[in-house]
Amino acid sequence: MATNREALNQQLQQIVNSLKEQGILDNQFGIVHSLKEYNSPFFLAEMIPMFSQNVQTILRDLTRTLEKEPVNYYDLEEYCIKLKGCTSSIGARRMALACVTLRQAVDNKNKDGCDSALNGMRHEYQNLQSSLDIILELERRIVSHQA
Amino acid sequence: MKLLNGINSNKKSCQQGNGDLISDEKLTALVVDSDIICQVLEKAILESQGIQAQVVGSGRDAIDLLASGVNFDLIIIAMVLPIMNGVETTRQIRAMGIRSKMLGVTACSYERERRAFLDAGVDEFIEKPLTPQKLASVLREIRNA
Repeated sequence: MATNREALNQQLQQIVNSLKEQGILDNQFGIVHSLKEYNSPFFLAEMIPMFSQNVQTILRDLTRTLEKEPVNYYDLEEYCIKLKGCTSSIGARRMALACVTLRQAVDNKNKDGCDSALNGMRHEYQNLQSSLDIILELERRIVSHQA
Repeated sequence: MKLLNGINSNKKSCQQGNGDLISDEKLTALVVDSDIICQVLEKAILESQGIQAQVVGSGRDAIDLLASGVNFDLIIIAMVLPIMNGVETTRQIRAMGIRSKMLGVTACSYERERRAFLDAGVDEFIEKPLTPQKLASVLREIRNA
């Protein structure tokens, strides 16, 4: 049983390392992962779905705000800052960088730029989500072995 | 969900996430952030450093909590908050005479925002994400004070 858990942990670490090499995740993800030692074994397994739901909500709000005329750039800026906050806090590096691109377009009040940046952000989120799904599945198996 | 224990924007009592009363021995911190992910992670990071942390989701809730007499060694306050932003909330907290160490945090920091937060009364300003390393010097100052 311990061997299975070790093997799963190693597999998870390999995946995380690969995602770091690709720039999808950064060291902050490791910090988040380590918090399960102080919090609960379920910490990461609960965090990931919460993060996904949060990102989807903010992306929806960004989309709706951009679709309205006239565009409320103040609201866009706030959503953008909020999204960068949560993505950088979990270690989703490329998504956080995509937020910087969006904010620049918002600052320039460039609607086409905002549309393009938001599309880029959605693309990054799809990549990230598929990776997080794999991590979540592994983490759940690790936790069930510990239980 | 366990992660949300102790995170209640309306709660004014001085309790940890597991319901125990805060002892006098540990440093205490208030996290003021409207984003659920930042709330959970910042609370968890603080607790991993041995700090008892409480979370509120708005500037108004922070002010109400502080006005009720609850004290914190450290207040971590986000810039983007609903209705009353972090800068204005900081100004009001300082106007109340609260001298807790205040750490302003934001995800996208331009110089003008940094300056506004510092002028409002935060002692230090950091860019998210919060990490144990970024907290270390702040906590050392508080413990040595």
